[in-house]
Amino acid sequence: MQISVRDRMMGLAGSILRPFIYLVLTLPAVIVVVTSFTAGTTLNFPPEGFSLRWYRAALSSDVFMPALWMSLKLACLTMVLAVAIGMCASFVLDRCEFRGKALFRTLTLSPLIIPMVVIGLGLLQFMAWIGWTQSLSRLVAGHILITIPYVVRTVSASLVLLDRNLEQAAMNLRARPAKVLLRITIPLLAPAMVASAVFAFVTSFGNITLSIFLGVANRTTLPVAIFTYLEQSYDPALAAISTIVIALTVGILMLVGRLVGMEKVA
Amino acid sequence: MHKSGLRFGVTAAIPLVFLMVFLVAPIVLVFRSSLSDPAASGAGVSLFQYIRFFSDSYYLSVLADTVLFGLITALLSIVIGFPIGYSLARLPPKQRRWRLLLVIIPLSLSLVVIVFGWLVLLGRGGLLNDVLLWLSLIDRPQRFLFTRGALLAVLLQEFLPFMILSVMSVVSQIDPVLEHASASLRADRYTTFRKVILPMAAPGIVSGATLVFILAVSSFITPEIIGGNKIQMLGSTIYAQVLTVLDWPFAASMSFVLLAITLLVVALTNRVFKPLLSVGVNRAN
Amino acid sequence: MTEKKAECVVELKGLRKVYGASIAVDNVTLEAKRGEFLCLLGPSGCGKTTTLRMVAGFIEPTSGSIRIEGSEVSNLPPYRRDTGMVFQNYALFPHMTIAQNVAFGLENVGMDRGQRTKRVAEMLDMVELGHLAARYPRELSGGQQQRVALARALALRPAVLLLDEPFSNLDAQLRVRLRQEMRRVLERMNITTLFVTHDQEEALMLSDRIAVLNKGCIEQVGTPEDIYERPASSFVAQFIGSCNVYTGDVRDGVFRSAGGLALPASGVAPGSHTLMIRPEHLEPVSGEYEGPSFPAIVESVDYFGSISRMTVRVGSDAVLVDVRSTGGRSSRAVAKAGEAIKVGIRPGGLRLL
Repeated sequence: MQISVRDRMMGLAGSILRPFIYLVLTLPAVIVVVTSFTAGTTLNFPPEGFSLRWYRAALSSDVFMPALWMSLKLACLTMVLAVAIGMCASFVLDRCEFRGKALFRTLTLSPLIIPMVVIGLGLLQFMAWIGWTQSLSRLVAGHILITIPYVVRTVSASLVLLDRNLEQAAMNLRARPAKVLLRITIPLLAPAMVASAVFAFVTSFGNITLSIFLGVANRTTLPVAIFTYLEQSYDPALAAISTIVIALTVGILMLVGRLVGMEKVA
Repeated sequence: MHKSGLRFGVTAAIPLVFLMVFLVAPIVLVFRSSLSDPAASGAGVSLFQYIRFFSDSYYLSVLADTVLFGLITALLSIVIGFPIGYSLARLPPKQRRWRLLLVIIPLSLSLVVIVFGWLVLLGRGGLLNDVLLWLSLIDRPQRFLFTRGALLAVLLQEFLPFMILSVMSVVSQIDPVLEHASASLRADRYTTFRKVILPMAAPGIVSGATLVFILAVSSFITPEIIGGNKIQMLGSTIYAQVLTVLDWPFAASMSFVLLAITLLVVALTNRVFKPLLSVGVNRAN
Repeated sequence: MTEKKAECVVELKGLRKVYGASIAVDNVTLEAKRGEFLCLLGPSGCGKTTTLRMVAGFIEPTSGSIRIEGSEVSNLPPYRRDTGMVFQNYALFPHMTIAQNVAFGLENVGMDRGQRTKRVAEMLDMVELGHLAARYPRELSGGQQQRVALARALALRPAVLLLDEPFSNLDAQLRVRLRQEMRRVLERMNITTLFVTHDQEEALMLSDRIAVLNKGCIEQVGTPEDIYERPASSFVAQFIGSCNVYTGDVRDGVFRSAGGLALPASGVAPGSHTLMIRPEHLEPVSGEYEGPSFPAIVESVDYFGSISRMTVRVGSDAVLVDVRSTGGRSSRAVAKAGEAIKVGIRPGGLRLL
């Protein structure tokens, strides 16, 4: 086939550019994983030797381990509460007409575009003002706030596609509204709920920007602990603990992806 | 249907109350704080903090830098993100799956891990220097960190997935049949892209670019680590004011400047760019 | 009077539904007797589906009353009415098996497990799908899904069955077969049925009585023969089958249309009237025909296999004449365009309003 010169060049550029970009996207994570197995004491590439010593160091650390535990607790709480609150908003937006509906929708989606430093400072001031000092709850509140938009977007998209006839058929078969919700609506929304729950978990687990503002003294999250460590020292322990973070994050994504299918289109 | 008022009220109240308490109130507080008058120990209303910000050439340069980084990152993300997003939209599911994973994973990983990875990559003993030395393009390890180029590269890599997903989403809605029709009307791929795909994908591209811009100007971890003390962005300046200097009112005024920029860009996109670009394409967006 | 009440399972009185400025259903009054198959027939937008949904309880009437088995139900939610509905797209729950779908209603009314299993098996056997009980809806064909939807609705033995265009998603041959099967099932159960369709062939074939709706109002209620042979309005005449309809005057025992058609109309009061003749009641005749007839010029002949439809002209009126193909002779050889023929009217074919 006679392909134009333009097209040929475009095709060539594309076939070089695309793999390169995929590489660049994953390179930082790959580097971290590779250097975590070094036997030496520097983060040079290629790593010197193979050893698990830094994993031993990370896993026995009394800075990283409590922080990891905190992050996991936090992520679970955020996930459950964000999905619950987000679903309330989604239902109201999908099923009801009321004045100020557009404003309400904008409000629920706004944390996506409001800079996290602004949210961080705001919550910091707010919580100082009312004397709220409990670390975990402060973090939960902040994390729920930034994950609600995604829950609302994902669940709303699914609600729009839900066949109303199914709910009507259920009612015709003598099911009361609560039953319809439990046996029909929610099971059909399950994929969207799971997808948004996973996102909430992963986002909360990895969040640093907001957590830096809201964490209290020694009770911080793992990303913050890593950041703090990074500001003081620079050794492969960071690589090891970061690899643990990567493993957990990717592991959860893969697990859920297998269960539900990759429907994570932003 | 038979939606009782009480059920609606309670279901709507839960998210509403949460957002009022944890979003609206804090932002109002920040605003109030930014207007506080240090002379009256925070009681009065004054533009002191804003004047302080805008009259200092250092802070103005930080602001300019931040906006510039945002713009360049956004524009580059269009150029790089569009081909990837387009190809993802057109690939069959099996091939798309793992590529999509490669796009989503960096998005989901903690920022500190990604930035740390770049630190290792760009360091004197890192992969980049290794490769360049091996290719004999340089004869000594170079300092790549704490340069504008490095910061730009990292910001780009961080936020590229957002653009890719945005493009993928919008291109998926363009019926492939249109490309065939274009070809049957004597247009080569390039022309098809220029005259058919791009105009129809434009709103999605603009959305993606706006998002990238907003995220880039708001970032502070990345400039903090990759830029070090040499390059300051507004986010890292605010962070310093809040947690180190503890000058919250000043930080508040800077936050509001940042917020204003963000809202301005969003408004511009929705009111100006999108309507301008939505040529005969129905979109509920 | 109590006997009459027991006879009527569904009573609609003055049912009205208004959406802002438009009237979807206007003063519909109708009764369905026990075991009757009553069809709501009409073009899209005539209000038939709205009426059905009001009976089911998904739409609240603006005014009017709905009684099922003698009790007023218009203020009751759908889950408290004794109706069973089959939706146009079947609305089978995709996350449940066929058996679970059919059992759903039985669970909701508190039937115990043993009885439920029995009833589900019974219903699935009735529609001959017992062997697919463990499958999911997406694994079934359209026709099979429709039968499951029917079994599910009937499992509760409702007082009235509501069918919302249940055959419209099926291809033509399947439709014909399923119609007959459904008729069989429903007759066996002797269940009162309200059936909505826009397909008049279906209505004629399945119904005991048909209510023809147009723009929210009932145009005529009657048996299929009543509706077809004695249409009460030109709308009904033209909606069911094909009909030649002309407006004109009757004077001195002759009907004259505006376009030039003139036909005998004895015993009819003078004044303006509407004349209706179905094409099958007309035929080309020879000069010796003694019944009513009129001359016409053939304009075109369209071949439909079992019949040929001639369009002939009288003055400025067009008349459709159907000629059956009889064995051997191709109906194409009926007439040629431009020919002048004589068209005869079979006895009883004329109808004047």
